[in-house]
Amino acid sequence: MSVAAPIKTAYGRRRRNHEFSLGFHAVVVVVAGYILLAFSKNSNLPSDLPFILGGMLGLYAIAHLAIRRLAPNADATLLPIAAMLNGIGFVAISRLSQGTARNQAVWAVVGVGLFIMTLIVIRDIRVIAKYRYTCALVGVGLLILPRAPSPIGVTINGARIWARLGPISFQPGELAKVLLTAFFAAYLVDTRELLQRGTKSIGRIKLPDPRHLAPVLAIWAISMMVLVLEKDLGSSLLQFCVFTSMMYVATNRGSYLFGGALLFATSAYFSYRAFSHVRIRVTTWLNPWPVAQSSGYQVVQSWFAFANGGATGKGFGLGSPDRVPVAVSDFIMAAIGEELGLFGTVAIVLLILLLVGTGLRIAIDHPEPFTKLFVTGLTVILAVQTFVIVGGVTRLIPLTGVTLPFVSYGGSSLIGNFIVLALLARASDSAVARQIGPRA
Amino acid sequence: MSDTALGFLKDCWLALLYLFVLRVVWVVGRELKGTPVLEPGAHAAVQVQAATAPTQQRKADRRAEPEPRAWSLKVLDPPELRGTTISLHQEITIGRGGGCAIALPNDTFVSTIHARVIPRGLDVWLEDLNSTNGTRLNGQMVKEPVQMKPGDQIRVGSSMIEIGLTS
Amino acid sequence: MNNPIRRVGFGLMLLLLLLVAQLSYVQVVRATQLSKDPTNFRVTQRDFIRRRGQILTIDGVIIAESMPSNDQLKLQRVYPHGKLYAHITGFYSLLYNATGVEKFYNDQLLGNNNPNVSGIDALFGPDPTRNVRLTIDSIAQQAAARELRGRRGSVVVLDTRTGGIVAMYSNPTFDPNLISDHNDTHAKEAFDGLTADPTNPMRSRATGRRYPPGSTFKVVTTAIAFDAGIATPESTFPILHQLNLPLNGGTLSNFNNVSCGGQLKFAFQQSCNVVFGQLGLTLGETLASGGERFGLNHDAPPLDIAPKIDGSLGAIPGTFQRSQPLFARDAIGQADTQTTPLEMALVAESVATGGTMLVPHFLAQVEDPTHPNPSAPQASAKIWRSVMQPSTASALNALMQTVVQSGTGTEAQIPGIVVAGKTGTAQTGIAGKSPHAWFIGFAPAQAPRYAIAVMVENGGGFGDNATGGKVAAPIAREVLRALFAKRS
Repeated sequence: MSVAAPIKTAYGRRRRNHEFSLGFHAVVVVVAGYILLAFSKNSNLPSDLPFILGGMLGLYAIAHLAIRRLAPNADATLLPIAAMLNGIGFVAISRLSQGTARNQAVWAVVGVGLFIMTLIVIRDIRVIAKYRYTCALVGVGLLILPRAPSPIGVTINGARIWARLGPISFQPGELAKVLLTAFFAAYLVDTRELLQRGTKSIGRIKLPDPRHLAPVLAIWAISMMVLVLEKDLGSSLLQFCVFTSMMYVATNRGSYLFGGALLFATSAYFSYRAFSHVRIRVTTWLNPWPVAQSSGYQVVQSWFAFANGGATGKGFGLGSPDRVPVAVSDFIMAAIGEELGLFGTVAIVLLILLLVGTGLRIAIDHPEPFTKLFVTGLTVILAVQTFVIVGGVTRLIPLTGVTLPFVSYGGSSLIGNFIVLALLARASDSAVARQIGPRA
Repeated sequence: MSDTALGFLKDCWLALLYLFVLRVVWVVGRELKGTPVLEPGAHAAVQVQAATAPTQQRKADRRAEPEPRAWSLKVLDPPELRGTTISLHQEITIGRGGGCAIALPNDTFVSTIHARVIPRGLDVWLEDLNSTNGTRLNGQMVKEPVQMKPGDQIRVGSSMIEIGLTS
Repeated sequence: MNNPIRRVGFGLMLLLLLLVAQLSYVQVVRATQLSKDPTNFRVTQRDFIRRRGQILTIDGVIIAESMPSNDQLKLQRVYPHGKLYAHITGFYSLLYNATGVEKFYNDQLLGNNNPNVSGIDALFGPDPTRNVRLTIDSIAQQAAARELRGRRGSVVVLDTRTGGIVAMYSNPTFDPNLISDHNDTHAKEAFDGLTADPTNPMRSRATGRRYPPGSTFKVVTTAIAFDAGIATPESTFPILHQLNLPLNGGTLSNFNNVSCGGQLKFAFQQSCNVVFGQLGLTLGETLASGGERFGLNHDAPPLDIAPKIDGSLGAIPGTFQRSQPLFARDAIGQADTQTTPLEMALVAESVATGGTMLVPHFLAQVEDPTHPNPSAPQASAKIWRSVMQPSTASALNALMQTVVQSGTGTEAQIPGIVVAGKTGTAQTGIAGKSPHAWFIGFAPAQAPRYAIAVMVENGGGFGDNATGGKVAAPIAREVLRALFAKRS
């Protein structure tokens, strides 16, 4: 398909300059944090880690150049925020486990590589809409992959959400949620008018024809079922929120939001009654202290870590975040909270809030319905995932294991986040035309 | 270095981190009210916009809901289809085939799928799809995809279509 | 579509702001309470990663110090003499917290509130730590361990001029290095092994366990009688083979079933039970109130580092009419009379000082290694309680000298130094268990310097022949001799 080459505008040039300046700021902050960590008496950072850090940040320079070429009008804040989150995460992981930090750097390389690849391959985001059913099938296939027999599907840390290809284990769910979001967006854009109107009436309530909803409900039900079977509560909650909010955005009918909440409440109640692992999560959430040595251990240790950090934190390398189990991935916020304090954790939340704001700004500014809906879905993933994991580790909601976008250790998650970032960049690149487009 | 000193430096670091957050907020703020700086020789479409839409007007547009203005195609010729208007939400095709959004079944100079019109952002592009007799924009033969502006006229076979903006 | 997107955006913003609220709640509102939670590892760990001063004996021997380690805590607490000072220093364990001096002088060792460190030094200087110097004398401590020769028991030596503890050794003991191991598994293994040991090596027998004091308690009975004016050294008692106790309370007999009696001073010298049994009955309620003056049933010695245990006396005020036989048995340190070796050392000390018990303590001085101050005041003597009149004390001093000169305690004699003392052989009341051997005393008798209490559990295996005179007195002699040899 031949689509016009990117148009470089003065507007885009200024965005690129902002991106460079903010990105440089992020690099300075991350490197300074790493140096402070190296100064602390508890650190014995190996000599190769600074180079790995340098390499990782150099990668962002490459990503910046790639955006200049491939999506010159893309939003300026996407890449710097991602670099800052990823960099702070890397410093926090280095402090906990150097081997893990090295792996994370490798994943960052792969992630940025896929970021650039996505920008190269997807010149027009609407192309994805054409492959909606492919997206749906591959998405569901990826979700089922961990259930495959043993050499492929593997159980790690009690959740069967891993697949193995050769030496590499990955969580296919991280990619599946992007594909399923694309499917939902494409399908809902086509049928939204029908869903909006409601063609069947039951009493005074007008319901859409089930035929129009069937495909989307089928895919959604399959994915929910798989996630429940895999005991991946966090991902099922995430999928649910994304689907419900996309239905709402597509139709502008509050009743879908209401129906979603109702459905959530009933399914939550029944899974509480039916599954012991759900019950344990809930009782642990309500009062972890009696089980502080067993099922409540993680969250109690997490609270201790947060509390130890206080407002401004103990300082790099001066806390004991290694006391919190799985601190590098799910509980990375506790590790950051202990050493950087409330100021550090709030900064992370604010950065993600800004990223979410940028995502929704792109969706609002974009003229084309599929992209609007797709970008909204991707942004909801970022926000809800952050809410689920940070809420979980702070005991705001029951704990379910998902990663903190860009910050947590985890290859699949990092790669998924970078692809989402590339899609946002692509969408904002085409959305910018609105800013400078012709008017009658 | 003592822990106290490290703690102090960490506070400085946090300040630097928040400076970053503030700078991002500042960039976003400029985006929200931002007026693009136009340079001489900028794209034609930009000049059109600059000439016709003052900032105040654009701000008002941004608040206008529910839908943004959209491009539309209006058939001028043949006479039996004159006045037919199609708004451009997605890519559309023009041709003699019944599957085309603008179907011209009686124009024998038009190929089955002759050309397509692609909205790209708020730009709109015209591409000839290897038609037998070619596509002209304002009289110029379209060899590779070309960007259109409101009022441009597309000639396929003996039919004429005008591109415009509806509100 | 834009309006619903905006609303979704508003919802997402609310969610993320909820996170900010919850983070503030945990990290600020609840922070103080959570940071003090005893199950919070950081409460102990907070101090663990800081440097810590040395613990020294009065003669400069390092008995606890922090050495560089290869684990994440960087510093390992080391006790160079292992078991010797275990009950004094305590241990410093991640799992089991701190005990002993490590616990009670924690702030001093860490340098908290060090008045010498302020301003720019506090910001960039090295962590302030201070050393804790104890009143313990390494010579006496070593002598005590050596002379107990592995037998279960305890030796306590007090400085009669300051109340400082010169030696306090208890057998069996333990190695604090094992419990202070940073490896949780190793530490737990050591700790569990020690708690499962029926001889309970982690509890100091000097302060943490009570024994019947036997005839050494006659010092207390005598002091109460002299103070009350009920008897003098010359008071005469009938010579008896055994004493029939009132209220069908059975009989009280003498050691080896001999007959004895006569003047009190001879009865004291030979430790005649029937005489002191009669004295107990004569004293009646006075014995109960007098016991309280010594702290029995009343007040535990205010030792700075150890959990406090007070002695007990069966003779409770107001019960004499009901339990006269008990008063007779208590008067000779049997039945319900139970004291710790530290308390008996304090009894000896009170005779030596002319009637007062001093507050016993381990701390000599807290020293700042970066600001040496050789003239820093040593902890001065503080009176804990006055237990007898000076005249009573000097009379008892004379009686106790005769015990060592020609009574039951001759084994405690040191050439050139006059030793005063009293032996005790305490029935355990358990069939088949040999009596505990006791010796309490002080020296030099004319100008006392040290008071001592020695207790060997179940006579240390001498069977029924184990007497305070044979088993405990030689230990006291050797410990005192080591101290005096060093001083001269």
